[in-house]
Amino acid sequence: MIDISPELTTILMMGLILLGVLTGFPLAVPIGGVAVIFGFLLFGTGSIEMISGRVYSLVTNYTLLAVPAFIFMGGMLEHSGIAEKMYDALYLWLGGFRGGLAIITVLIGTIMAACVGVIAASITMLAMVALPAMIRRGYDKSLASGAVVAGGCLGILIPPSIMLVIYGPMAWISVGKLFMAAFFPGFTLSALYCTYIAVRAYLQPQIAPSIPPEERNVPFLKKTVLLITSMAPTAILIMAVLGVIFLGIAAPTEASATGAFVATLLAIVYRRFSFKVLKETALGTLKLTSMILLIGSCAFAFVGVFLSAGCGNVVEELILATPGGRWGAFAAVMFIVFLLGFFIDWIGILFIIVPIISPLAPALGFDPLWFAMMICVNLQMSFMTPPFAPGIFFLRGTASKELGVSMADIIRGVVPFIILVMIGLCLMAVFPQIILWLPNMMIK
Amino acid sequence: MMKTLVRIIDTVSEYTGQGALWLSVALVLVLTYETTSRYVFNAPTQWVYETSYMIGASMAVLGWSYTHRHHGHIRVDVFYTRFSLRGQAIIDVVISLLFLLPLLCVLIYGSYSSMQFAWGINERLPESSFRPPAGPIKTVILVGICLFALQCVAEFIRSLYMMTRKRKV
Repeated sequence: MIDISPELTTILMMGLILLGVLTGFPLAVPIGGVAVIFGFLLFGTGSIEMISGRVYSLVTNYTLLAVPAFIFMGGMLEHSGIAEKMYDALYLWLGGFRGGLAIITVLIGTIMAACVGVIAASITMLAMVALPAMIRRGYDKSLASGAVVAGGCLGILIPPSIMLVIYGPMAWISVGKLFMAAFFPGFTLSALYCTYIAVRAYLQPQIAPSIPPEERNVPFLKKTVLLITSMAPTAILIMAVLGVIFLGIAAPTEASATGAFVATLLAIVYRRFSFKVLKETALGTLKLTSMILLIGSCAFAFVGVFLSAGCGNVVEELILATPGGRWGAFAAVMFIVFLLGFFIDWIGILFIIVPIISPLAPALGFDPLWFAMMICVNLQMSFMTPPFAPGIFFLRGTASKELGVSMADIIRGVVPFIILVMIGLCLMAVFPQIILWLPNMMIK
Repeated sequence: MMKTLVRIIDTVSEYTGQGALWLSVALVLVLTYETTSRYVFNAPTQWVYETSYMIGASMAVLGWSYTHRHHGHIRVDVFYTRFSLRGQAIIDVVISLLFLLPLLCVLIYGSYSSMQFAWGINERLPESSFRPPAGPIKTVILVGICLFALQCVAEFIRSLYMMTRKRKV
């Protein structure tokens, strides 16, 4: 047990983590390793019990059970083929507008976001359905891929969302409330994206041409029936999951499992269900959950050591000392999260940063729910900021090579959407009601 | 010899994962059962709360080795992918010794003593009146961590082999 000042400990622990993570070794290990080493240095063998106790309490956390259930649900939906059906229906309605296909992409991304809690499912579906359609119609490659990435990334923000399920227990905020708070921020972003696409398509018609009328010449009644039949099952699913949470009938964990069950039924109804699909979905769930919970337990152990060493106060003092009053301090927090998003995976940021900064919200006089949502919207950007951008990564992984979409195309396409998220953040700072209105309406 | 060892470990992890994946289906079914019986039939169960988190924890922890075997534990590969295979192997070896080894030792020792304690005093989970024994889940967690450690050994041998012989096992 050696005596190091909390200030030095803070710098060493954070610095070592950053260094360890950037080596490219599986993220969880440097985090857990730093926790173990500093736990031992500061508290001796007593730290062993604390660390393994925190690992135990994280993996047995009831709220976090919604993580596997939502992943399961997303996997099932991916196999059920609802994205194609929605795309075909919306195509007939909006194909005539300039930029219509890109707007459909964002809209389907938004609807999918309300069904799944991860971005992999949405982006994969959009990259397979929407991207080829846009590029074949002569859409600009960067606009098309930007719309896919931005639309798909809404999946992590609009509930149900894994990010919010993890945020809740880390910050002692109810996940149900976070879900409700995330709706309008998500829709705000979606609306900003659509507006941007419409304006750009209006100014530069050649990058997003409209579809010739003969290709979408379908009677009005048939169009309507197609729209309703493609949307109805999705709407039922959304109601089954989010409605019960909003009405206070079930907790998010229970709602998530019910949603997974209903999604399986949907796949059966659509005749896409098979033993193979079930096994693939379960295997995907296992891998993703294991990965998230390994990072989670290591980070939870790290935070335990970090806070016991008094480093939480150091961080708090440091941030409170930022010039510019409480908004200056807030901007500093947001900037740090944004910077970390360039290099570190969101799961790591979430599990490490949230418990450390959450006490700051009341100290700065901000509403904790508003503060949480600003962080989440900010983290949503980290999916799009290269070099470490899961959104771009998934698009690269699924987009067919024949489309000829290069990394430069994607990055050029994504940048405007990152700026739009920043505009969205400013809007939410000026009008906090965007975030707080719906949770206040929620049945307690 | 090393090749056989690596192959055996891989196989163990493979089977663990193939078995553990059904726990996710079980989790969905158990939680759906609870929700239905509580809200539709108004008959809440006694056992689902603990059972569900035991299933969830078992799934996550038993999945660690399988996920590691299939390189599913996310890496921040911004710089990592720019190194040669040998460079990557050197990083893996160094970080394994520096961070992974102490982490695994603490996790194994910690979860072992917690398990021993649980069986020794017949510890019960405290959350509800169901009060199931804490021993089984703590044993599963220990097993999961040990299997993960085993897969880490296999990956370590792979990296070491790549580092010294410059080819794959």
